[in-house]
Amino acid sequence: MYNLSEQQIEYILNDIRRNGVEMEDLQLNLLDHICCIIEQNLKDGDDFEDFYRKTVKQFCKHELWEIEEETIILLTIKNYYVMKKSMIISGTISVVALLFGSFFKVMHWPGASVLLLLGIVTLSFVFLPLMFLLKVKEPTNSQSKVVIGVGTLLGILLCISTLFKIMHWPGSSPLWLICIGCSFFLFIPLYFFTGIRKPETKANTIVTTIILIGATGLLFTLTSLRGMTALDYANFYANQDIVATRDYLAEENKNLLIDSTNTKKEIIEIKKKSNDLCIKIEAIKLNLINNIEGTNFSKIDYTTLLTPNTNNYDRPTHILFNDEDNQANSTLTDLKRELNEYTAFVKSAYKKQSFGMINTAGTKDVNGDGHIIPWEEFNFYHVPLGGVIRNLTQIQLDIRVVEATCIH
Amino acid sequence: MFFSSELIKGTLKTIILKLLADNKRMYGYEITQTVKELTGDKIQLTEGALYPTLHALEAEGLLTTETEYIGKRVRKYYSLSKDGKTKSSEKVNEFADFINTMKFLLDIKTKTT
Repeated sequence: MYNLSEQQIEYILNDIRRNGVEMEDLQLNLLDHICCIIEQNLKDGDDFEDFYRKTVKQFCKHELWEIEEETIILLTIKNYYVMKKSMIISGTISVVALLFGSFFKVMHWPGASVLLLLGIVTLSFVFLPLMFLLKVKEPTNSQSKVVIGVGTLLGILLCISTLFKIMHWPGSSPLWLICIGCSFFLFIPLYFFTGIRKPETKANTIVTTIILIGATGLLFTLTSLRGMTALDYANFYANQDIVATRDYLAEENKNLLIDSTNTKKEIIEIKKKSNDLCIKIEAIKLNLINNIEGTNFSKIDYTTLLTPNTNNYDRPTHILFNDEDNQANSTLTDLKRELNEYTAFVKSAYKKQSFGMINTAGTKDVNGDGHIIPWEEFNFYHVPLGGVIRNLTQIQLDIRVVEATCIH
Repeated sequence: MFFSSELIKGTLKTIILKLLADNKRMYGYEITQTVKELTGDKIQLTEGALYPTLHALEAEGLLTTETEYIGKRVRKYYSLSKDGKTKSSEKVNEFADFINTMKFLLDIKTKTT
């Protein structure tokens, strides 16, 4: 049996390392193996290095690093199946959650937001990253990997923008614009010029690029190009008119009290109640405007209300309704209660008179297309800011009309 | 006559698991030598196939390892884990079944008397 010296062992280990075997475990395994072969087969007169070279040559086809590569492939192949399975499971979960979430949302059932959140989070933070990792492992060139990477990031961004939009969170519109911009100016050119160079992907690339441009264009028109519509302008000018009538009536009602000598108790009360409610509604409007425009006004200037936010319905809906169940929050429920108390008081104090306006100043639900739409939803849910302001002003005017009818 | 590496590749895991079931603990060189002896040189495991498979089996939790110092170098001994023992008999049974099926499929007449 041949006896290996320490230098010879060192020599073998260094040679293994130099040949590209980096895993320590494998280095030591190979070292022991080679040493065993040499010890068993090398005769005293033979040349050590020459024998070593011949031995290693039989190990694999070309170079030693192939053993390491094969090891890594075998080690990752199991991971690969686990990842693929997780990808399929997470994909299924998100699709089911999104389907049910959208349906619940349309039906205004509770749980819609939770389902949509679950679906979008699973899609963007589990499914898409896993898909990216699996795709990148496939033998493609580095350029295709960049395309896959950018595509994945864009997909995640798109999911998050959608989430912001659905939940009426602030900043959804800029996010959408960033998404569409990245898609149009970064991803599509990158995808196109990577694919067009290879003859085998050329035809496919052209078709997919056209579809992508079409889809991006559609999203663009849907979300960002919704400029001011005729309805937004109509709301703005109608609001100004209503404000003028409201203020005229308020002034008239106020002066009537000064002229009247023997003022009845009910009249004083109706005037106070009307005034309080109008102030309260004005405060709701001011709060909405300051919140959405980021201003700090103490009084509304109705001539400056036409802004880019006039047709935004995400923000008022987000402020006036709960995210979880799409139900009106305390601002609207309090207002509804006070309006009901007000009309109840008017009806009981002025039994003999009829008030047409009392119905509009009230909070009746609306019969729309065969089903009942709650008052809050009809007047405020998904109604653009301009419309919300106008509807609130209308209630103020109705109150003033009721007040005027009562005290005359 | 040697068997082709393609044939051996598909059975390597079974060979290793069975050998370890019979021999408690073995190191890499010992495995190649034992196979060589038992098959009368007909099956010669290449190092390029053996070590990747050993590492994969270890990662799957079928093998446990112990290291021992032999002078300056380290020797890694492999033995079956609890899962490995069940897997070993599973694999051997599966392969026996496979051989019978292949016999039938390829219509090989064996002298069984």
